[in-house]
Amino acid sequence: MAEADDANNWKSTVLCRYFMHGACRAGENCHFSHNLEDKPQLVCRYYLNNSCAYGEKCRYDHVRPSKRISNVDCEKTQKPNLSTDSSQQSQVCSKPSKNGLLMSDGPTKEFHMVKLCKPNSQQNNSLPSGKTAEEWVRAAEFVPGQKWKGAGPGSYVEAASTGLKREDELTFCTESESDIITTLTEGIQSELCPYAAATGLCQFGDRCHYLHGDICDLCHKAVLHPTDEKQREQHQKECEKSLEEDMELAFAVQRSKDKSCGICMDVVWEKNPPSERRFGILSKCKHVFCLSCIRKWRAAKQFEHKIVRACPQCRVKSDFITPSLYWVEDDDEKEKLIQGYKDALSQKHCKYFDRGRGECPFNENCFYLHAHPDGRKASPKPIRRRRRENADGDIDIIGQIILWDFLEERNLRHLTAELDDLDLEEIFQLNFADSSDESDVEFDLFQY
Amino acid sequence: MANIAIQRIKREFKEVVKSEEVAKCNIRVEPKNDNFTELRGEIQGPPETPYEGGMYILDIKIPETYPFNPPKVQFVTKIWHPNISSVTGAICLDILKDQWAAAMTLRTVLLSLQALLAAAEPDDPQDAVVAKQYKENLEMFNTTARHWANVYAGATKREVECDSKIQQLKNMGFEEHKARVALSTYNWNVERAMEHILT
Repeated sequence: MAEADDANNWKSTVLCRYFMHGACRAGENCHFSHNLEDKPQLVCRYYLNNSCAYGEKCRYDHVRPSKRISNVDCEKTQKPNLSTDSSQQSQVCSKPSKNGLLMSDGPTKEFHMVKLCKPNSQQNNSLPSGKTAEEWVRAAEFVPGQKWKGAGPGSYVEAASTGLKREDELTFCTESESDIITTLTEGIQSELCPYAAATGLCQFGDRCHYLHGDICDLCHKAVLHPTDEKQREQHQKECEKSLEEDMELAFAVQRSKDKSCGICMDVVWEKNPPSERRFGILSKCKHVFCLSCIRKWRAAKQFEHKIVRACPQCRVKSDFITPSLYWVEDDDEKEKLIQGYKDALSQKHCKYFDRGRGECPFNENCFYLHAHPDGRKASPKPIRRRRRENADGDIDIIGQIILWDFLEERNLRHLTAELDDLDLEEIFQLNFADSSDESDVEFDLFQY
Repeated sequence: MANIAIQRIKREFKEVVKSEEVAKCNIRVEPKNDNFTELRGEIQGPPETPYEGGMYILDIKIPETYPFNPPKVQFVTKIWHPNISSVTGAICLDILKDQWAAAMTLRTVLLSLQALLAAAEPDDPQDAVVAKQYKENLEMFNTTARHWANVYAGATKREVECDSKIQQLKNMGFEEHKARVALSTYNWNVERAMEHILT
């Protein structure tokens, strides 16, 4: 147990490579750091196996994990942290080479070059001592049409899987390094085998370096850590949650699949094209309509505003409709859906407000984001009221009057004549129609 | 015609055929042409009204924009009713105009019309003459409506007095329908009706 914790501790300061690229499925449970300021630990595993073919040009780090070295016979007294200082690491790791032991793969690569290009050239002193020119002569004969049975690996894949375990190189593996390898293996042994966890099948079976967990009753996968109680609990909680979500989805599907639209009378989920298979949920009643039909009805110009704003079945007025893939009837669920919809819209910039450059007639009631370019949220504009006294001494409260409106109206009368009956909502809809499928929303001007 | 309109009418057609109102012979719809743009509707005169026992034929035209716009409906059978023109058969019913809702169907329209026959709205008239009679002399209105139902809609209850007055005018060489309209308008006063026809 302590071993496992130890193994996880060094990971917590190492940047998760999945998170680094934008997504880590493990989320908060990831053993690795999700702090972008931490450095990723990308030690070349072939290097650790003394078999990296890229040598110095390898994109991964060619350093030995320094953690356990300090415990063993390296003269370092303080425990160097693996991820903190790379220069320190290279210092630690270059130590063996000072003693004439070749740990970096640079020379190995050079060796390959020599082998391929200049087989008869003078032996370099830095080459591994065992490989002399005589051995070259003794190399297996190449017979065309047959697989060459040379000393080296036949392919890169072979090299990667087996490693270049030449005897002479293995002798370089000092006590400290074999210790490192053991430590790594121990780290591995505290982790669950991903193959066994995902499919229940691991081709290595009992020989697998990773742990094969216990089988979870809910998901029937080998994902329960045999010793880590916390992990077991965590998994069970997650499993229950996802099961609950699955159930909810199944109910939603059951509810939705045979609902037919009150306008076109088609079963919504059987409409074509499939993009039409969406419900338009009215906020104030429970009548079923597909999104396109109810939107078309609400946009109808030939009827009074209050007629088209009302449900075509029960005539209860709803201020807006919410698109949904599933039919939602329950009040709580509907509220959740509407809130989710509003939240999603509030992330999008309002095209009218235009980051402070324009003016949105919906003001603070707009579902879209009213924010300035610097991210500052706009404060609602006060509604300006004007009072006007008529001949009888009565006071009228009238809205904002701007002289420009009159001038503009007069100038543009011929242009606007045909747009007269186009109400604000339509302009609103037209404006958003191209931005995204989900983004067109309808609602009333509450404040007027 | 837009796809949605045809699809819906076909569906509604099945709905009406299956409905219990059809089973009770209260309403009926049949297509006039293959593409369902024109239909012939029938409603039975509601019981305990002057129209009881009559069968009223309706002409239904489905607009391309259906169901976002109401169907155009008018009476083919002549009827004496404040909200239906005795001349053209045009109907004054809010749901066929500005109160239409996209979820309404042929069935609901026909049932609404049946309800209209049972409950006239003289304050929102289509035929001012009929509405005037309805408001001023309901008894006379009922008699006239019964007579029209008997003559045009096949209702069994005969208004003998009306029949004899029409026969009287017919014998004088006047056309029957013209005579009936005139008599109905002038509360079955033969002299005034005759005066009206002659002027």
